[in-house]
Amino acid sequence: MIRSEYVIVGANVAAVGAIDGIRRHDKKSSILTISYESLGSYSKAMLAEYIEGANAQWLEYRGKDYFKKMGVDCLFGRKVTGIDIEKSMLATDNGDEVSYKKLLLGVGGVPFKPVIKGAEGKELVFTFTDFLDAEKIREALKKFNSAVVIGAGFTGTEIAYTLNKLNKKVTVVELGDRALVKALDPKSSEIAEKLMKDEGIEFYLNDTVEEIAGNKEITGVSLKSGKFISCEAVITAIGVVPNGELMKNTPLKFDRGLDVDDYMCTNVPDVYGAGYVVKALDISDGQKRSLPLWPLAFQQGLVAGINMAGVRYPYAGGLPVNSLKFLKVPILSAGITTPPDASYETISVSDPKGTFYRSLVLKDGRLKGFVTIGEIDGAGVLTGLIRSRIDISGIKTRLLGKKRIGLMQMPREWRNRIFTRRDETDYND
Amino acid sequence: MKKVIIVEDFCIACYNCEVACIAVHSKSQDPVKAYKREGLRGRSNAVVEVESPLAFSVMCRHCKHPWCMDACISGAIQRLDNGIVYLDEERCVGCWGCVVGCPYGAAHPNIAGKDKHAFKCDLCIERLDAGLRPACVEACPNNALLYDETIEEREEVHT
Repeated sequence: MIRSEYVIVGANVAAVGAIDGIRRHDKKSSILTISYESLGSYSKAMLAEYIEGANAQWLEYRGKDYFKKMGVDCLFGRKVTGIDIEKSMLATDNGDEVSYKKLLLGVGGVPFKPVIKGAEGKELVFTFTDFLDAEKIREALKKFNSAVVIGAGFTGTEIAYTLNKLNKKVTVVELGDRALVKALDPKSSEIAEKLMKDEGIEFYLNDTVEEIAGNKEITGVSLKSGKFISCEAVITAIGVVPNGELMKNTPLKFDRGLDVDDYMCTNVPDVYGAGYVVKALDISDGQKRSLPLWPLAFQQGLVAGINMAGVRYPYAGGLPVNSLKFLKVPILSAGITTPPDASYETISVSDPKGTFYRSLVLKDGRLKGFVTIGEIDGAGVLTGLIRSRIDISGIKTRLLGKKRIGLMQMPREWRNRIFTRRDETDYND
Repeated sequence: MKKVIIVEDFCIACYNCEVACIAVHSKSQDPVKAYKREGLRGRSNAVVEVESPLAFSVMCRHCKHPWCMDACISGAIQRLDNGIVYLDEERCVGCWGCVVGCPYGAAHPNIAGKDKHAFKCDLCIERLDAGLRPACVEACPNNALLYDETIEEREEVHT
């Protein structure tokens, strides 16, 4: 039996945040991280680069020595198969038993796979969520020249863009009426779609794949609208769902996401959660939900780690932030980009060429979200304005200019507190 | 850790800090060569904002919990043991997570050309190691940037 003071299931960004957090307050106790992936810790947000040909080391998030440097033991390529809460014990797929004092579940999500007629038994049907998926796609690149991507969310558009760059003929099929509906407002969706169409990607909106045609080899997909698209590969990117596999048959409360309190602790003492698997506070609307976003996973991991080490430190809540890093014209967004009702106010500015666009969503004079395209320097100031809940009624139009956003418009008092402080700023500032 | 203190009442919008920053982070250490040959136009980590008569220069605050680091998907941004929040441009993949994360607008995108990466203040780590102060502070003629010192202390060093 393996014993460790802290055990972390998962090895990606939430786990790294947790290790950082634990080690801030506990330099000595043993930490063990277990991941089913043999690569261990890597950047899931950089999988597209791997498909494009980067080597696997390039994806290493904190470098090879990180775990060693932090005094963390690793079990990589080993899957945790069960948790015995009563005994504080984990079981792994090779029969190991691992006992913990404090446990963190950073198990992320699993791709949501729609049931599509004809998908079974075909080699070139993929998902695009983890390294194994990326490896499969990369290895199969020579076997197809055209692909249909199902889903025009972040993952779908990113893999579509990547395959297009690798000279594949790519068609995106999306059930909704526009791309990137979660991150963008209608106008910016249109701009993003245009940027991708200009590269040669085709879009079929308000439509869905009903059947994948062909025997072993794919010949195409038939759509609900009756259209048929010829293709040799299909990538499903409908989305991910929080991975609840380990919570089955345990007292852990899981309902489309693991329940955690303000300290990232589950309903079972000494069992914590962080990253996409948990439902955590989204400060843009005050609701708790799972968000598959990198910075939030890190922050939640860090907060969980600090609390696991025995220091009470609350999670201040997270703000959904998106960067469409793969497009030629950068697109950044945060918070609520499409107003849900009439109590919100939207102001925007754009140039006719579609290379600059900025829209701000306000409620009661406070910034709730934004999209900025083309001119992105200083966009974080807007993110900061959402977090700080400062009334911006008086300065809102000055934030719309086609120029970098600076601190000139901020209240002088706020600015000077930041400019002159000699101590260190904190999340809760 | 020591930080650069910004005194907005004293900034005369001379941009000397920007020039010094570009020069010190260039190969040639020369602002004109950096501009003409090294393509470092607009690549100052300190950015002067002017709305006359007000002006100030803003650079990284080297936060304890850096929003930029949380957002960094490549691990290019790390917090060093001495507290400096350091961005390794070689490892940066230009995802702009830091740009949209930093509430002070102190992580900047270099979008032009193939060399797509973010850049930010490194507190002149090499100068600090050599016992010098950050280049922007050194270049400021009117005490609008201080290296964790009072104005009196700074004037003593200069005279």
